Amino acid sequence: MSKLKIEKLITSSSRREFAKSLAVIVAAPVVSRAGEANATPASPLQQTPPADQPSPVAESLTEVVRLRHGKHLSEEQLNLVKRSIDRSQRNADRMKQFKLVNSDEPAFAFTADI
Amino acid sequence: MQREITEEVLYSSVRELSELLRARRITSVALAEGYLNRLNRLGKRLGAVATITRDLALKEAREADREIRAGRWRGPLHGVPYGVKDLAATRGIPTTWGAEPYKDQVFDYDATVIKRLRAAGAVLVAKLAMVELAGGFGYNNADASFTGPGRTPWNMDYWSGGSSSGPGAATAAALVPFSIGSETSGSIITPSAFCGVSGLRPTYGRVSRHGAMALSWTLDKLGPMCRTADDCGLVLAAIAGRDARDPTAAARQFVYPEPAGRAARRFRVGVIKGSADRVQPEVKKNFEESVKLLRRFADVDDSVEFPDMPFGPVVGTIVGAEGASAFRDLLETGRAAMLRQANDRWGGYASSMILAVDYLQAMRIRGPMKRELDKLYARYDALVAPSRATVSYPIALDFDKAYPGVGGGPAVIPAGNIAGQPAISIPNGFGANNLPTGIQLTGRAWGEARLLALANLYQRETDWHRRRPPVDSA
Repeated sequence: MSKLKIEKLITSSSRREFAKSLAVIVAAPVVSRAGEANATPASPLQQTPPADQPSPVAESLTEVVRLRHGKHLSEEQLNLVKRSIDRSQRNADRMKQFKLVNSDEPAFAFTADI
Repeated sequence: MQREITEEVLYSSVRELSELLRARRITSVALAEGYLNRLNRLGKRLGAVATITRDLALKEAREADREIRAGRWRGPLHGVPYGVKDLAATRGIPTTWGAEPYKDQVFDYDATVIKRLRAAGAVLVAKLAMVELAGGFGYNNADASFTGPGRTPWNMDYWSGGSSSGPGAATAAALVPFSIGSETSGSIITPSAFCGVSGLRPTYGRVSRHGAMALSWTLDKLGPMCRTADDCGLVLAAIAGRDARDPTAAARQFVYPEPAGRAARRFRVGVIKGSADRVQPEVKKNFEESVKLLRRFADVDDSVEFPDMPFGPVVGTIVGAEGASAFRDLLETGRAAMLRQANDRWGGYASSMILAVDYLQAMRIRGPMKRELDKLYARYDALVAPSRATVSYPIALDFDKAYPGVGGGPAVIPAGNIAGQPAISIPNGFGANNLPTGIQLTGRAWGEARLLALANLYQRETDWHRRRPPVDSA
């Protein structure tokens, strides 16, 4: 999706509509293997391999990065951002395959104590 | 009679130094001077040092000597020098987080770990180098700190590992007798393996992180990196415990060494199936030799199936999302462009696009993962695997180009970090290019004392942890 199209989406529709359009894109099936960002790099075979063609989701989210932070990034860096987002999306897809039930809470507990 | 501070003394364990100090065979000032000399001489070459804290060190050492002379012995760390990864705040001394944008940052308070070590009488001699921002933005080669690449003292053309690069190299080369590192996912275990030291990743919540740079609030841990496992126990005992300033720091008691009754029981050890299948040949050979040795003290289950769960994606998602939040100001202001490693200049922007539902999915999966792992680990004192699939990577190559095709076993390091479980890496031999290899003993949450007991037995029968790198002759 081009920068122009994304800008159009944001300006010509409400934020909710834009979020909806992204959600539709997010639902697109993607393939994933293993994790990426580690404080120590994973062994090469444990890393998610790059895809030949980044997904539409990665394209779209990269446009969000461009809109938010484009002045800090070169085209080459944005291309790398896109590839990385694509890998993250495939990780997310793999996580979605993990069966959870409604009562599975996130592993943190808020406390009102100061 | 006073003993001269020789190289042999400087390579002594914390326990040995402690005995010399207590018996007043050496002074803390003389010892600190010895390490300060080595830090000055070798620290930069190894890329291991951010700041040498000479004035503070000599002040603390004089105080330690005065107290010991007066018969007020604080315990096994009294008068013993140490270094800390440069992510722990130290009042009035730069705390750089390894990163150019923060290289002039100075806090007006001490991290809890610094306060605890001061209370134990330890002497801070250096803030040690680290991978910028503890590696959270996806670095892909060793040159990822404003101090330059960390080098293992065993072969300076190779990386010290990260992100606790300085603690690994400095401890291995006797620039310090022990150090404090941190691990989010692998940052103690990896440099310990690549530098041939003993490094303990404590249970999440065992050690307060107050005053330490946050990369991932739900994964970060501080832990000791020493030349012996026994020293890791001594240091952990000094830094563990509840802290009102860190709500995750638990009031769990850490007793070291473990009580005699428990120590007498024969160990139960499991070998993680597949963990040595796709590793370098020397790593495999050393691991198999280590397991053979462990049979002397342990009943060994040779093939323990590790859960097949998406540990990598979960840890990657959590580190990415929390790291992008922790350093949001760096991204928003464009100062990420000042980071050293090319990937670090854009990696945080990619992570900032991790969707909230994906982060929450990762955090929800942690519960079932933790339960599954605990069910498995409840049957053993330790599950073992090679610490890393390979020896250290060449400085000159990107990590993914170093050993293509090697390393694809169970994701033991991400799994342990997701579940908050402890692990210790101890040296178990050498591989290609005179580079050390390690074995990791991983255990159930709060099971550090058991892991240390097993590691101590292993080190009683081996001398890998006693070997000295060729750094003085280089």
